Amino acid sequence: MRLSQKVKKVLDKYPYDISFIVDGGIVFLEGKVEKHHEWVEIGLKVGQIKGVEGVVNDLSWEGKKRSKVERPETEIDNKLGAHEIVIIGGGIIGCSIARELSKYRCDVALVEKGPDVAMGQTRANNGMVHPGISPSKNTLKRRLNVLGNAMYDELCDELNVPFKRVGSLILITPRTLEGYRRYLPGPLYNIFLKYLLPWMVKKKGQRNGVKGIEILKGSEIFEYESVLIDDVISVVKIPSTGIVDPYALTIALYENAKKNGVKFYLNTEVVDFKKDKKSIEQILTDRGTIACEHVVNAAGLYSDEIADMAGSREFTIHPRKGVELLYNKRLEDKVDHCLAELKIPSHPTSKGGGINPTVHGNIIWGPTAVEVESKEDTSVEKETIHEIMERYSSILPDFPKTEFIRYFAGVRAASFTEDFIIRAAKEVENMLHVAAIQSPGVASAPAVAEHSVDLLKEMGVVLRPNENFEPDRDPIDRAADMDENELKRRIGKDGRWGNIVCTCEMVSEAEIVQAIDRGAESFDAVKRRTRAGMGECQESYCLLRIAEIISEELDVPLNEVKKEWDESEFFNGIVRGEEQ
Amino acid sequence: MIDVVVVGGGPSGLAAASELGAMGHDVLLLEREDELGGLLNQCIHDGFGTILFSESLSGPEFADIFMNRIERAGVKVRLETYMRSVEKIEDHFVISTVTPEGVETFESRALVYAIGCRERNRFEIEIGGTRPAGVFTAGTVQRLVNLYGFLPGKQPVIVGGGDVGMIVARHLYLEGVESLLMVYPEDFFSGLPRNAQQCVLDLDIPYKPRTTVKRIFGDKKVKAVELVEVDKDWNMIEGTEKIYSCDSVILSVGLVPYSEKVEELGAEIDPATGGPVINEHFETTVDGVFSVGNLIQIFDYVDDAVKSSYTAAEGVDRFLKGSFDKTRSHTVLNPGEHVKTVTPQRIEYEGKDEITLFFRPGVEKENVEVRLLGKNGILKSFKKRYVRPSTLEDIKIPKSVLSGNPEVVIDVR
Amino acid sequence: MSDDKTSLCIRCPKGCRLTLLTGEDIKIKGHQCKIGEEYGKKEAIEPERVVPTTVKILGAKWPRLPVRTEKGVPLDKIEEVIDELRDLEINAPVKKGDIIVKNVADTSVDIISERDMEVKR
Repeated sequence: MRLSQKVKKVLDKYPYDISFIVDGGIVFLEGKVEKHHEWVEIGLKVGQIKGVEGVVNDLSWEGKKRSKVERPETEIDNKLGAHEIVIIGGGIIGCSIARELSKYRCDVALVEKGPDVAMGQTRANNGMVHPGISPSKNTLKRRLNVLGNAMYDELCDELNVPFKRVGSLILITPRTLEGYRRYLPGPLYNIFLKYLLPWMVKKKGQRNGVKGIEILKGSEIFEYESVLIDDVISVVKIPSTGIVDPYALTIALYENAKKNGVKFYLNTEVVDFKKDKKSIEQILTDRGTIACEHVVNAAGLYSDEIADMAGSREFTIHPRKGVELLYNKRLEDKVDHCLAELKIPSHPTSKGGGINPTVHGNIIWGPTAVEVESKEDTSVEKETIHEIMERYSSILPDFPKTEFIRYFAGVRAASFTEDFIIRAAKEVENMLHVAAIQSPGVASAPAVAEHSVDLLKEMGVVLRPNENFEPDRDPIDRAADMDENELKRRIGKDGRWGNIVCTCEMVSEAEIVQAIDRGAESFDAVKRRTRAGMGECQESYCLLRIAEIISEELDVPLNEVKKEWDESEFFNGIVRGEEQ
Repeated sequence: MIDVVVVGGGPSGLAAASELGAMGHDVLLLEREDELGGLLNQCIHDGFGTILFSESLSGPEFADIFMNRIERAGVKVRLETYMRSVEKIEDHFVISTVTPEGVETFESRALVYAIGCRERNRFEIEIGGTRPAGVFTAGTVQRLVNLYGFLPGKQPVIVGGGDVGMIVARHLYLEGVESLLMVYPEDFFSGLPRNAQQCVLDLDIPYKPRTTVKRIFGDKKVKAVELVEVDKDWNMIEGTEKIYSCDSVILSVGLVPYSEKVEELGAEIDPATGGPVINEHFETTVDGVFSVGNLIQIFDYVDDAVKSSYTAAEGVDRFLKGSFDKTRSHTVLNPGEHVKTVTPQRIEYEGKDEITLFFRPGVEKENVEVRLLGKNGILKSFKKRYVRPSTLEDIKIPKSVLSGNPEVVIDVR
Repeated sequence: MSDDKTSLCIRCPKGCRLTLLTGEDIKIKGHQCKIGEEYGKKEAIEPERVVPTTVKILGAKWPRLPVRTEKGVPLDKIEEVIDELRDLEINAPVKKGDIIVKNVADTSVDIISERDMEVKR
C-alpha cells in the first residue's frame, strides 16, 4: 500500500492521466505524455522510490516509434541445438558469463544477433575500469564495481589483453560548486573545496571499499599530472582505476570461452520463446530453435524486450547515448591518468565523462550522456563534438583539442532504477536477468559474471568444476610490438609479416589473415582485432588493401566485402556494368 | 654507407632520386607499394607533363618517363618497404625498414622525404550523423575504379569542387553510375578550369555550389545525406537543410602532409602548410634531411612538384659534396596580408642564383600586386592578373634581393 | 544558323566564361585576353577531348588496364567510345602505347594502353 501511495504522489505532479499497477516491487506505468523527456523523467522519479525493483514504463509520447524486435509469422523449423544454459547477448557481460561458466562442466551456448561479439554498447565504451567510488550505497553496482575492478589484473593476464592501472584524478576546481557559491561566501568557498569536499569524496570511496585514496593539494597535484589547468584546488587520487580495450577484452573472453567448450551462435536473433507453464523450453531464433534448461538474459539494450518476450516484464530500458572524441596517438604523453572535473550538481549531459588515456596511446574525451528515443541512435552531431571540446578543455587548456581523429557514440542500457538488474526473473522459473548493465559495467563485468553463476546455482543449476578449463588465451601477435630480431624471424617463416598493410598502426598482412582465421568476416571485425584502420588516416590508405585481403581469404568478390553487418558492403557494382 | 636515401616513389621521389642518380650519387629509393609511381598509377587521365614535356600525358605515362630515368641512373629501388624508424646518429642516418623479404637497416649521409600527403576524412571536416559503409575519400575511389574496376555505389555524392573531386566525377560518370551530384562550399569549382569544363560541364554532371554535407544517414550503408547551404565563410545557413538520397559519399576536401616522420626527426613544422619548414635547397631544419613534393605544400601541377625536386637534388648534391657554407645567413619568409603560405620558409645561404618562391593567396582578386617587404620597405614587387586561394602562385627572384633582411614578408594587394 | 554555346576557358586558372557564337561567323565573347579568344574559337569549331578509361585485363597484376584515346576525339563521341570498350578483354602482357582498339567509334583515333602490364608472377 505504501509503495503505491508513493508512486501516486510522484505521478500527481504531472498533468497527465497516468495509470499504474504495483506488483511485487515492479511498477507498471500506462498512459500518455507529450514528450520523450517526460517519459524519462517520470520513469526515473518512480524508479528512485525506495522499494521499487523495476519500472515498466509503457507511457507513450508523441511520435514514439514501435520497438524493433518483431516476432516472425512462421516458426523456423530447424533445430540448431540443445544446451543446458543459453546466454542471450554477446557483449562484455554475456561473454564474461560464458567464460565464467566454461570453468564448470556444463553445456553452455551464447546467442548473438550481430555478426561478431561486442557489437552493442561494449564497442563504444571508453575502456575505463572504474574504481567504484561513485555508485551510491544500497546499490548492486557499488559492490560489483569494487569487486570487479580488483579482478582485472588476473583476468587480463590470463587472456593476454592489455590492462593498465593508471589511476584517476578527481579534480576539484573553482567551478566544482559554482551553483552553490552564494551559500559559501568569501574564503569559505575555497576552504570547503580545498579541505572538506575532497575529504567527503575520499570518505565516500572508502565506504564503498575503494583502497589507497589520497588527497593532493598544491604543487603535488602538478607533479602527478603537469598539464592540468593551474586553478585546480585539490585532487582526489584513486590508484585502482584502470584502462582496458573493451572490445579486445570481449573478443578475448569469447575466444577463451569457445576454446573451453562454449558454443557461440552469431548472426542469430532471438525472436520468441516456447514455454511450458513458467519455464522456457526452447528459444526461437531467426535461424532455428535451441532447446535449453536455463536462459541468461544479457541482451543489453534489448534485455527488456527479451524479458517481455519471455513473459516476465520487470523493467524498461531507457537508452542513453554517449559521444566520445578519440585523439591522435601523437598526443599520448599529454595525459597519464583518467581525469574528471567534479561538478555538483553534475552536468545534465555529461555525468561520468572525462579525459582518459587508452591502452593504445590515444586520448579519449567524453562521453556525453543524453537520453535518446532510439536504441540504435549512435549518430554524432557537429554541435556535440564542439560541446565536448569546450567542456573538457576547461581542465586541459593546452591540449590541442581539435586534433581528434574520430568521433563515435554508444548507447547505454539504463534502467529507471539506475542500478544493475541481476536476479531470477519473477515470472519465468529458468531465466536469469543480467540486465541494465551500464556504467560501471566494464569494471564490474568479471564480478557480474561470478555473481550470475552464483545465482544460477541458487536457481538449481548443478555446476561442478571443469578440470580441463584452460584460462589462457593467445593474442594475435603484433608486428608493431616485435623487436627487429623477432620480426626478422617471423618474416623468414612467412613473408606476410613483412607486408605492412596499415602504415599508421603498423599492422601486417599476417595479423589480418590471423584475425580472419579466428572468425573475423568483415572489415570492422578485422579492425577490432588488429587495429588496422584505427590510426590517423582513418582507413583512407588501408581500406582497399584490407578489403582485398578479406576478399582473397574468404574467397568473395571485392564488392561483397562487408563493413560489418549484412547489407553493409562497401562497394556496389563493376565499372560499365561489365561481367565479373 | 649510402649517399642518399629517398623515401617515397611517387613523382617527387622519382624525380629527386633520378636526378641524384644521374649526378653520380649512390641512391636508394624506398617505396611502400609494390610498384613505383605513387598516385600517378591511379591518375589515368591526361594533363601531366604539359610544363615539363609540352605534352599532355596520363599519370602512368608520366611515371614511365621517370621509371626509365631511375633505371638509367642506376638508382637502387626497394619496393613493398615500410620505413619503421629513422635515427640520426652523429652525421648520418640509420633507417630501419620492413619488407616481405625481411628487416633491413640502411645507413645514409642524406635523406630525402617524398612521402606526400593523405586525404582529409569525414572526421576532420566534422560531418555529423551515422558512420555506415559507403563514405570514402576521393583517392580511394579513384584507385577502386581505375585499378580494381569497381564502383563505390550507384548514386554517389561528391563533396568538394577541387581537381580530384572533378576527375573522380568524370570517371564515375563514364564508368556508369546512375546518378551523381557534386557539392562544394565555394562559389565555383576550386580546381582548374580545364577540369571544371572537361570533367563536369562537358558531361552535364549536376552540381551545387555553396553547399556541403551536414549529416550522413543510414545504419549499415549510406542511405541519404543532409545537404546544407553555406555562406561565403562556409558557415552553414540554418533552415536550408535538404535530404538527398544517395548510396555513397566521396570526399575531396583537402590534403594533409604526412609530416609525422619528419617531425619525429626533430624537423620544425610550418603550421600554415602543415609540412616541414624548408630552406631554398629544400633542406628541413635538420641538417641533411630534405623534403620535396606535396609534403612541403600541395602543388597544383605534378610538373611543378617535379621541378622543385630538381632544385632539391641540386641542394642534396651540394650537401653531399660538403659545399654548403656552414655560416648561414638567415632570411625568414613570412606570409603577409592575403597570403596563406610561403615556401621556402627560410633562405639560408648567400648566393646570386635565382630562386622560386611559392605562395598561396588568401584572396580571390584581379590585377594584384605581390610585394616582398623587407626592413626598409618594398624589396621587389610583381603584378599578377588574377589570384585565388586554390591556385598556388610562384615568383622568381634573384636571391640577392633578400640579403641583409632577417625577415621578409610577402603580401598581396 | 547560330548556335550559342558556353565554355570555360581552360588556359589559365581564372577560367573566363566564354560564349561561343557559332554559325557562319564564329565570334567569342567573355574572354579577357587573346589566348582566351583563340581557345574559344577552337572550342567553337570542333571541341575535342582525350578519353581516359580502363579495360579488363586478364593474367596481370591489376584487373584493369588504363587506356586512353591516343588524341582528342569529338566531344559528342565520348560516350560511344566508352560503349565500344564495354566487356572488352585484354590478355597480359601489354606494353605502353600498344593499340588496344583501332579507330574507336569511327573516330579514326586509336585506343592505346597507358602503361606496361606484365603477366602476374
